[in-house]
Amino acid sequence: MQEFKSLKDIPEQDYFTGGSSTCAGCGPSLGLKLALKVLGPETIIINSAGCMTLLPLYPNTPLKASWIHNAIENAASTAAGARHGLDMLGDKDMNVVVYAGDGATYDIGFASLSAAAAKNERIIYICYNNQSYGNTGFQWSTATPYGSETKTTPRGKENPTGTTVVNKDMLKIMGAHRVYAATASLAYPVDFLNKLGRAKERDGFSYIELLGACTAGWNYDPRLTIKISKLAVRCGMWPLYEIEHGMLNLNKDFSELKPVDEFLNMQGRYRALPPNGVERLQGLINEHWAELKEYNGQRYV
Amino acid sequence: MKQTLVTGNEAAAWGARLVRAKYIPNFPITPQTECIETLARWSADGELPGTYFDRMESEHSVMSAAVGAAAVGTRVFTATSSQGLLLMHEVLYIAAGMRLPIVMANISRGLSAPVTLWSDHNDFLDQRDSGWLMFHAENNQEVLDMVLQAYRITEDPRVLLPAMVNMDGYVLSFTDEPINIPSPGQVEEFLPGYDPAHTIAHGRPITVGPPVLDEYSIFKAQNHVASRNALAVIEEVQDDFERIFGRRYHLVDGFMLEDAELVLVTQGSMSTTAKAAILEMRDEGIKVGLLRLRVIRPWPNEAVAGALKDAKAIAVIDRNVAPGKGGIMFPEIIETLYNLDRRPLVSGFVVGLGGKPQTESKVKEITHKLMDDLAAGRPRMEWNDLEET
Amino acid sequence: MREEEIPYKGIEGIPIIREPGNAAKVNRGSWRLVRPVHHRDKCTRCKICYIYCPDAAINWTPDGPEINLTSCKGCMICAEECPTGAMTEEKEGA
Repeated sequence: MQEFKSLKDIPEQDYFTGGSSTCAGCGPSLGLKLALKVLGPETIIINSAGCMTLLPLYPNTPLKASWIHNAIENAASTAAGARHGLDMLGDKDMNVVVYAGDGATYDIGFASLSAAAAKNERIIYICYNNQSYGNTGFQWSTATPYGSETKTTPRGKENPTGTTVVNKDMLKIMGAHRVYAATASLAYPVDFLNKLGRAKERDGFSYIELLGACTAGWNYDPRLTIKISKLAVRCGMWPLYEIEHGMLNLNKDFSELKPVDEFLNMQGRYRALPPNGVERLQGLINEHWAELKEYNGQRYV
Repeated sequence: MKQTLVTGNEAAAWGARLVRAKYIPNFPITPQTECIETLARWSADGELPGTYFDRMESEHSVMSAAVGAAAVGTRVFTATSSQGLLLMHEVLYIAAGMRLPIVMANISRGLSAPVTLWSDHNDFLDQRDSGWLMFHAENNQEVLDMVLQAYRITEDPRVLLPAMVNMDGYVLSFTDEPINIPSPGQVEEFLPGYDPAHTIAHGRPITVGPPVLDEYSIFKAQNHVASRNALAVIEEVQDDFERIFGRRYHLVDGFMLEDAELVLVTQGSMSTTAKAAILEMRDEGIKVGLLRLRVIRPWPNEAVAGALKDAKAIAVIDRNVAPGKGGIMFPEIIETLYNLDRRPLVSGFVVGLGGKPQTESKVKEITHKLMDDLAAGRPRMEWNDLEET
Repeated sequence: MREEEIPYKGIEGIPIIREPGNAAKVNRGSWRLVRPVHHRDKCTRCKICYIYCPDAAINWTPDGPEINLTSCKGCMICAEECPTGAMTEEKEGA
């Protein structure tokens, strides 16, 4: 596939329409709209239960591609079945693409994901990570960052930090499955779609994790979806990198990260995070960034 | 026709092979393992061309993958047992709701806790309301025949529902019985290729599994009607089946019912033992017969009522239990007879849990208890096999 | 309805959607508190508004962006991201 150089190269054809019941300014919706530009109509999106499950609402769908919603914990295994079913029917050209949230990916569906990756199934797995169980109203998952408040990790007298667990390093985990693993951002669509394009060409499993800014859960003005997504990359909360054959490649390098404060201040979920919590979070970010810088261009997993 | 010695597990595997299932996701569990090991060996030897044998990491994923493959129009087979079937539970409803004709063999085994490896029927009766068609075989020939028929029935446009072919673990799964294995050509004549109109295909983008609002009950009703439609389809396919394979089945299996005053209602492999006991009791002049339930869902109401209506007393022998209620099929039989003009007395017996063997003498004991109940005009609900060893 | 009166609808009775993209006709315009207004004179045809619309409510034409007010939920990402101020905001019902 010809790599896109700028926004102007991105195809003007959409396989996604309006009319869904997702929130105004929904990051994950935008992610799927963009992805379908590269994937095209001969694609089956395998969805796990979550916000995106509400894209189609009988009898209407915004999708001009196919869609299977099975349950929450089984998108990867459903995709494996669809892939092999198509292959056995001689239909090798159809793309099989998972579009699953972080709860379905990091937590309840992890066994299914891990097996499909270990078996190197010819699937593209996109995790739209809104760092919570979003559709149920913003509860904690193992993708929720340290210091974020959620409905099940509220701040209180006993626990002013909110989320005290440090989120899983999912990319490293997936990289260790010897598959292609990459992060992506809505604010860098060229990077995202080029990664997707490369994944589409691959004869095996690809894992792309898209930070799915969530206006309702993160609690910000919907107009800021792209601004926040960009800031997440600039402050090192969401570095853009990829792991292939165990080698790390940092896609967006910065001589200096922006301090995390600006990112936190834009969102209600970090409101009232005590200074020592902010400090700890900044420490975690710095540590991860230093690790990425150290291993950039080298064997990482 | 040449007879071959095969186990119940192998009979199910032969079914999958002969129907040319294109996708077989699987996960091992006792006592189903030999079924998938047989398919694995055939696959490795190149004897299953056009079939992908897919080792999954759990039964939940097995059924999920089955849904994925069936949603793109593939003919799918799998097999499981017991805890594995329970792990699939969530996805069973989804497969039925999406109207995907998956066929699965369940090699029944009692449920934990405590752990048992032996057979009873709680595992699949727990899936009774999932929307699947539920069949139960008596012997290994019927296992194979049921798999062949299951595809023909489930893929019928009037049905389009998944089907479970159940057999008793160990008693059938690991016992060699002589059976007729038909030729691939015969099976191809009985069961052509699968070309569904409601699945995803190139140039046919569809959305499978969307949320609905008010239409929920409409779709559930369609699932129900489709299942009821299967009753006629099951009977219809018997003509072709008999013409090609020389065997015929009915919605229920009646044995010496014509003049029977006492009827034992059974399921699965214990029916064979019970039939032998009945022959001996007949010699003693006891007018006893047997009704074997082989189609559990859809429930063949008329066939069951017709077979039982002239009996004086009925013993429903349940190899399963709903704690706090009793045998699971006991109330189903009572309900079936409730609106008849004349209702037979119905007693319930819970037997053979965790694979406790059901001998001819036990069957006779139950029959005599039923005679006592009839004489006393008072039915019972009884647990057998409670002696400590 | 008596059980035997329920008509069997074949594949019409299966919960699948067979009309791709038919949500385009669903009106989400009623969700809007504010609406985007495009000013052609300030537009550089950079495509940013088009790319970033989560509801595909901005079509790209040879003349630049075209806002579909049936699909637009009024998130205003387009106005926020427009580098030249060619997309502005107007209160609904104003």
